[in-house]
Amino acid sequence: MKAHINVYALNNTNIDSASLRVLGSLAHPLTDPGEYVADVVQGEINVGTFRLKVDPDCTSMQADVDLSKYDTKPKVLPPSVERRYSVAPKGYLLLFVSEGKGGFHVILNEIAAGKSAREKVARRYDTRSLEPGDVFIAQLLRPGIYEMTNSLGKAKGRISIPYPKPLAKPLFQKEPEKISLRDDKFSPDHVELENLQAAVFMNGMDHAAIQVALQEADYGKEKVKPEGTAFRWMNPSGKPAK
Amino acid sequence: MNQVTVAISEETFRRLFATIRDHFHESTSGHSGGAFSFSWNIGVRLQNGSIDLQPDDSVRLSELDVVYDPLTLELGIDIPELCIGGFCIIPSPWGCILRAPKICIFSDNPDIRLALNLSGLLRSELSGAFSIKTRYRIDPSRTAGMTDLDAEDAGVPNKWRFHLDPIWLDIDLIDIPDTVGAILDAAINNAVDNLLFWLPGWARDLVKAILGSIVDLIRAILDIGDDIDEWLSNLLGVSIGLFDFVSTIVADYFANRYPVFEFEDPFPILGYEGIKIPVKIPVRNVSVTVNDAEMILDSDIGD
Amino acid sequence: MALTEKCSVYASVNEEALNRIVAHLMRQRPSLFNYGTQFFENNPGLLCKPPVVHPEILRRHNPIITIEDPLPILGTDGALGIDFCFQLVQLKIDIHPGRTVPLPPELNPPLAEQRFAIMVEVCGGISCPSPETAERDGEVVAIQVPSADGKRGAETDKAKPPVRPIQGKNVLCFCILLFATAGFEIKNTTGGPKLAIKLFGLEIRDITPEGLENNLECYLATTLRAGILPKIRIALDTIIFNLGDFATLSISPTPAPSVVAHNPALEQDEIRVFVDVGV
Repeated sequence: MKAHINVYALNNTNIDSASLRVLGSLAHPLTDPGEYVADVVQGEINVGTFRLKVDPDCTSMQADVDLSKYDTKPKVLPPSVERRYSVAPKGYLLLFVSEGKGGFHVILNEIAAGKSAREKVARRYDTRSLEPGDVFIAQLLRPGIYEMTNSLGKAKGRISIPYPKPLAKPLFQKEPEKISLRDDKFSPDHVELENLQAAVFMNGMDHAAIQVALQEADYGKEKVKPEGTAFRWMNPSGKPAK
Repeated sequence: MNQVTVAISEETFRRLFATIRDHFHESTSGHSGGAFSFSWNIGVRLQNGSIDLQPDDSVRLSELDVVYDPLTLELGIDIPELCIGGFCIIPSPWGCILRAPKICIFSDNPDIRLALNLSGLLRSELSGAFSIKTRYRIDPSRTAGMTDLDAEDAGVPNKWRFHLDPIWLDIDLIDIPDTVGAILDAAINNAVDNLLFWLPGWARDLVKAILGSIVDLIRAILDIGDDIDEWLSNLLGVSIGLFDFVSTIVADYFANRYPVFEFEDPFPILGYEGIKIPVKIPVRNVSVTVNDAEMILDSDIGD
Repeated sequence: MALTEKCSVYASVNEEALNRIVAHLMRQRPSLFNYGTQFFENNPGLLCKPPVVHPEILRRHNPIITIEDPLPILGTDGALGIDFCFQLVQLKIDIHPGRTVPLPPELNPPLAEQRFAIMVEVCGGISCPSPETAERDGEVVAIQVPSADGKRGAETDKAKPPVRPIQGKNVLCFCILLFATAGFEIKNTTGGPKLAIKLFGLEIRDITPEGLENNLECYLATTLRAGILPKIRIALDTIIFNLGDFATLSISPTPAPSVVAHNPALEQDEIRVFVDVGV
């Protein structure tokens, strides 16, 4: 079987809580029982909806919603299909993008119990503005220096990721590095991550939008940006070819 | 008492054997599946070897090299799915409250194809004992209406043939040089690079780092263990059935297909002279014996 | 002692096999043993001893006799001749020590070492014309005015067929027994080493006067040496069933007397050949 390679995961170097793409996930706590209709927006286009019920009888503490299912290209779900999710009170709505170009944000609208999606009561939450208790997970792959910012404030910080060492022992994911955003400051504001280690932002601000963007790429041994190698020959004897 | 006797010395017999040995070139190909898929294309040649005539009317063959050339193997290996995430973000004494999603970089079990060219590197050794069988061959292409002269003109004369008929054959395990391990490692790295060649260097290195030592991973998938000799020998001998193939085809080649010696019957003693037909002598009652010095053909001249 | 102790390949053919081979040779190459003029080619039934030939000879229209010119009639300046035939009818070979061919005293029996004896029945005859035909044709020739080069007219060497009855009453046949001693030798030719027959002595039994016998013996021996025997040379590789050609081996006779005493050797009713295989 041929490989299915997640190109977007490998190419994404700008992770934004306000525009969710591969490698960026957002968890929003849901405290009280209720029913919601969520609008999924890609760019400026509403590409679908889903229903979410915070149900005391539900035992699951998180509802995972893969927004790539709503991606317009390729069209995975027709707009009319409505998915339903349930989560226990004090659980989390986890929004993520498993593949595709992404660029999603979600608006949660509360509705009266048993009512249709058109009978929205109030807009309750917009992922473009993080609320206290929100958790933003940034999984950075590309080695280099990143800048973390609060695009709705002034907080700034730096994250560095080393160049991976091939042929070493297998990499395994370390526990994530937790970074808090309070009083418009990141703490810590300088973070050195290991390869595959995630940065988990714990938001404590009323309004925030966290962005992590690559500033300086690390190319490892290569001094210039590689164009991509079409073929590599390796000397079977291990000695350099003359 | 036989009318015509031809005796061939042991040294000359060795020359005859060398002729048919050098003529031998067979091949086999196939594919199989299992923990990993593999296909093969293997050609077999024979080299060296010593022939000794025995006093018990047999011929002993020792240390005949079996050279596998070409010997190309293609192994198809699935690399496991490569995903990140899935770690716990908010733990609790009762379990994980919030867990990060799993994002896969490789999915659908990508396969890589390892092409191993081991042509001319591997050898086996074959020994055996043979008796010499006399056969009278009528060419299948010879039609019923043909006279002996017609058959000679058409290139399908009858023949007396003398074959080495195997009594037993032994094949020793493959002699594998040290370079095979390096060849395998290089093939693995090549295969992964070919799979990932279109990725930028850092992504390739990251994938390789995630996989760890590609060579170790794939060796684990192939179940190579510490002894590549044993693994390769087992793959070729048992999985592919190479030794059985070699012994069968060598036996058939000597016993049925390529005689150590042959001559026409009737046997021409004078060739065409203009339109004058050849003079051909019928040979009858042909028999062969072997002693430790020579092979002896006895025959009579027919009427 | 191994047969190949002093050589790479050894071959032996006993005299019984040799005689069978000769019989096959006579049936498959009859023109080597039968000679005559065009008259006998056209009328093979009038040969003194019509030969038994292999069916392929007839199927492939091979010659039964070798055509020769008529015997010239003296005094006709080559204008007239007489049809004749000459045949080796039966041939028997006896290899040393030689027990089956009784050699005449002139050939100094017993058979010498490394020799074989041959006993051959030779038959021949001329197509004898009637006296009238002879006189008539002679007149025709005699009145022709010879040309400046001495020839008479355009009809030279013309053998007019004599009138004869169908039963061949006018073919005057005779048969004689001929004895010879010979040996084998290996000759190097452009086609490689070949086994050749070397004639040592020849004797016709009981022809008188002795001078006539001697002349005939000389003529026959010369015919054998110069005409017939050179055409019966067998390649050395043939004697070992073309082993050299089969295995692409270079073959040569084992040196004699340095390695083997004789090559080929004629002894114990066999011809034995010793062959070396080169690199």
